[in-house]
Amino acid sequence: MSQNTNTSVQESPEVIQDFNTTYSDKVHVIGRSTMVIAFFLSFLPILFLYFVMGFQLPASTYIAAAASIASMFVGMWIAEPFTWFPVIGAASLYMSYFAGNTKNIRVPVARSVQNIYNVEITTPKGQIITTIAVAVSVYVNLLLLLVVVLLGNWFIPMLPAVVLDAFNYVIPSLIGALLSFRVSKYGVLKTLRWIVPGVLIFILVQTGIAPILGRFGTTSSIAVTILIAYIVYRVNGAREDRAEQK
Amino acid sequence: MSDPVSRVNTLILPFAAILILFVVLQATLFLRHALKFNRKHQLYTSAELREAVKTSAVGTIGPAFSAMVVVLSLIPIVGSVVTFMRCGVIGAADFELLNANIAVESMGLSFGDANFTEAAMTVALFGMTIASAPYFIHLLITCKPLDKAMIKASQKKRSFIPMLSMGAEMGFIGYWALEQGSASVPNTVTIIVGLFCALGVGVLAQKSNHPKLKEWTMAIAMVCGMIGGELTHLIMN
Repeated sequence: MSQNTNTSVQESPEVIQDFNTTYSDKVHVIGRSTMVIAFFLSFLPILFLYFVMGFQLPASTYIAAAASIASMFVGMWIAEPFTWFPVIGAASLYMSYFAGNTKNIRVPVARSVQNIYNVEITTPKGQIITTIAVAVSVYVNLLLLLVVVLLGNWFIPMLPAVVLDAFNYVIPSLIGALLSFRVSKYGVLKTLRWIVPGVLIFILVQTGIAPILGRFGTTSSIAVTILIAYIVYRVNGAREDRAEQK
Repeated sequence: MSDPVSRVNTLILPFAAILILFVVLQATLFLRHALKFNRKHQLYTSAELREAVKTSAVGTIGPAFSAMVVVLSLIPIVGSVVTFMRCGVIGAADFELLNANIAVESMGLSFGDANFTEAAMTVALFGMTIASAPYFIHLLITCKPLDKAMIKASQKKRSFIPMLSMGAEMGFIGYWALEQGSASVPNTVTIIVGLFCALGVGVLAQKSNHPKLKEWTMAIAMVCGMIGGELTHLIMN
């Protein structure tokens, strides 16, 4: 576990033990129970409209819609939570997949506080500050959403066109900021080398050499990068073992 | 907005309110749990927590606002209640718009059609919901085992978790950067400006006597990136 450089208390073995047992168990009690309820609440409006209001179409219509959507997103359904779990941790993952906007709001906010306090998500301090930051982002996002839904049609047209256009560049600038967190910690070369698998997959997809990857480009990039990370981990581990034996 | 869409929006208002309140409840439960643990073990001071809250709030505004333009384009199509419910729960606005259209088009319809009924709108709502539902199931099954595995791995002398985190994040961001960067020159410029601005803020925070500057890294990088991107766009056009 990494050493933290902020001014607060360092984690003692008792803190870590309490975190890994009592705290973590309750995170999953909260997470699992709320996700089950949320799952049913999500479908409740549809069930109401279908059975109570009688807005019915044949089941085949629903199956066709589900099949179309599944064919597009099955890769994301499987891979995305695995991608973000090691970055934001369990509690934040539950919140992110209920409140939404995981990659463009929750992950940047989480990485931002982790960077400020120089904490890793594998530590209790990393998890606590990330959980707090993501919870706050849920409140702020919902509040903004409410304001925009109620008043957006009035105030957004008042913004100059150049300002509205500039919002098209929020995501690319977020990407730059996210990259900077790794670059500032590990250096340019050590960070950029981890982009190489993504570059290769991107080239394979864009040039049509591996069209099968088309819809699964992101998933493939993540999977290959993790695989390479695991190989590097094992090679470095073996090297360290040999060095220790000498 | 057609009458059927409007009618469905009115009917589901109570459900939307309950769902959104439940999102707030879940976040509150987790927040309380984290704060209680912090109070017990004094991991962070009150000042540090306040700064984290500020950083989070400021860091949320930019990306949230950038989605609002899409939110506004969703409202005339599916209505404000459906938009608020779906975008406040699980979905990013563009994701919800896409899924609503896929569901409707699978019926051979589109939102503006004269024969678009409440039943069709129900299918659209189903499409938006089913696109996100598998994530709930995924987390129910995998989150706890993953967490236990991470705890176990972090206790080893040499843990794979930090490299897993790096690999997952860089695998995603690398591909995302290329997708975004290759879309246009302004996008590429924005990524580079965002990167260098964030690095610059970090260096400045370290060297000056203003370490709190680091809390504004994300916000400054976003604003500078947006300015860089927009300027490039204007110059090129």
